[in-house]
Amino acid sequence: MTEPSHAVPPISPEPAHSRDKMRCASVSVYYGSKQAIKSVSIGLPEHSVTAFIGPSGCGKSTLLRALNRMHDTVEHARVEGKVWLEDTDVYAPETDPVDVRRRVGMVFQKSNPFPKSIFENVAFGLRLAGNRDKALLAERVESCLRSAALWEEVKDRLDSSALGLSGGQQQRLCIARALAVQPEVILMDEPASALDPIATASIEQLVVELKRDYTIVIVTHSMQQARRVSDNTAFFYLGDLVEFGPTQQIFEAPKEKRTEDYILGRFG
Amino acid sequence: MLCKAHPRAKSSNLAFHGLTALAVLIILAFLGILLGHVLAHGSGRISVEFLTASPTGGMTAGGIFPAIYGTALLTILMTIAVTPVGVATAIYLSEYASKSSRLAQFVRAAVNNLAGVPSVVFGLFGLGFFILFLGGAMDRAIGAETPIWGRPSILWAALTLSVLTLPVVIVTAEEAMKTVPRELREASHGLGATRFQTVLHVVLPGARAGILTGLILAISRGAGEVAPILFTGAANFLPRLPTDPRDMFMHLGYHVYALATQSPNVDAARPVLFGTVLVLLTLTFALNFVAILIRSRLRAGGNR
Repeated sequence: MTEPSHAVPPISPEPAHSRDKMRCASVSVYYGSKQAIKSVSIGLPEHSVTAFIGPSGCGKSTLLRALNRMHDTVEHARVEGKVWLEDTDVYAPETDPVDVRRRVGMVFQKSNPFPKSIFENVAFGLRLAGNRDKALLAERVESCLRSAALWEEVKDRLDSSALGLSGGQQQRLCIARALAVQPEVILMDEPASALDPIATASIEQLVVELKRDYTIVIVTHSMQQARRVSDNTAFFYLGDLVEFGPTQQIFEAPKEKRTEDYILGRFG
Repeated sequence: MLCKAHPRAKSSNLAFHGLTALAVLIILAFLGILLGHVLAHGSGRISVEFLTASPTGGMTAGGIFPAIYGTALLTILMTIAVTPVGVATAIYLSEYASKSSRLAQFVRAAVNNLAGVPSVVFGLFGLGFFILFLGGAMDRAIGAETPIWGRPSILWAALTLSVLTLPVVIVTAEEAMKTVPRELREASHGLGATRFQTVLHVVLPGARAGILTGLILAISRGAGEVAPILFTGAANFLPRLPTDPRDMFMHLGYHVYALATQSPNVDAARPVLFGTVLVLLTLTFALNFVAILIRSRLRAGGNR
């Protein structure tokens, strides 16, 4: 698809490039006095899957959560720099974080369905937005469950508790729930790390299918997974963006020594 | 090499075991004696008439219905007053205040101190603040010649009790909200929920059973307290049922006190006394039992 080639994209406090759905310009994230992300600039191409890889504690999840202002809910977390969602300045004072999160949805590492029915989980975001039309709700719930490849498994028990689903089903339900608010970008924080290989495969297949309609960013510990699902890969180390480029290039011809060492399993 | 317990360690272990078991037995014995005594003397007095009629014959005959009714109404009014304030405070402490917030720490300290205040002090506070200050001001505002609001009534007694039970509600509600997983709050925020929507749709439903348990504990505590209502609204003998928030009322706990100390014929009143105690204990135990039931349902994963 697209090829953001430069290892470190130029730092510019400007809105996203036309082919970039989101763009970070010199983003730093601090937890108290500890700097977890060090002035990272990166563009996330539209309708593609971008993978964030790197060893534990490298800041990949931290940057992901900066993209939809999830750090707002964490005390002592501070974000500096600019994040652009198309031409919306995500951290501008006049930008409502609630609007940002409606446009940039999130799937978490640990599947976290609400202790409600399967139907109510998917309908949650719609109801928040004031949707009361039953027919419309039912239609959207079905289409989202179909998109998340879960409909056939749950269509006969929409009213039973979501907590009765298997781990993989719960994670697909969380994806369906995120889809229901019709976001433009979906952030996935190690969505398959707690799943068995079969459930992982179905999530990965889903990610690849979803990029037709959404822009996806996925944080993963598994290099094989990044290789299988992503178009572009960003390698982070100790809070720095070390290298960013097309996945194939990152894995087959990394430009940076640290990227190569990590990919070859010399550390991490 | 295996270490064998020293014989002396073994015997002191056994002695300690015995001592703890003895402590448990002493507690059980006291409870047993208390309940047995009340049951033995009181159960004979319980009848339909006792539960549905007014006291007669200088409170030595008839029933205790006005006291049951008064206790129930008082408790309901108290619950209506304490629930919104207590739950709202807990929401503030758990969901809005930052962990390092001075105000939140101050409120928590105040709540803990409130819980340690002797209940008779609440009674005096109710008399001073609600009746004389608030009620008096209302009377002056409407130009009443004789006190209408500025005198003991079921309204002021209920408000006094709600201040007494506030700490229980706040602490249990905050604990219940803290058990709602952070992941669920994040999921809700991630779907574009405001903080208020998250509280309403995720935190409160998740904490519902815990909040309810706290409320029931508060009710069972409040229903048995006498000191706070002593000066604020309980009547010695008032066969007429309260119909207005400004009426005084009879109360089971206060009735026990009145029968034991102020009856013209203490010996004749004794069976009624035991019957009243039995009704009061049954009510309190029943409420505690409901609280335990709710909690165990919650633990069993019934938090749907």
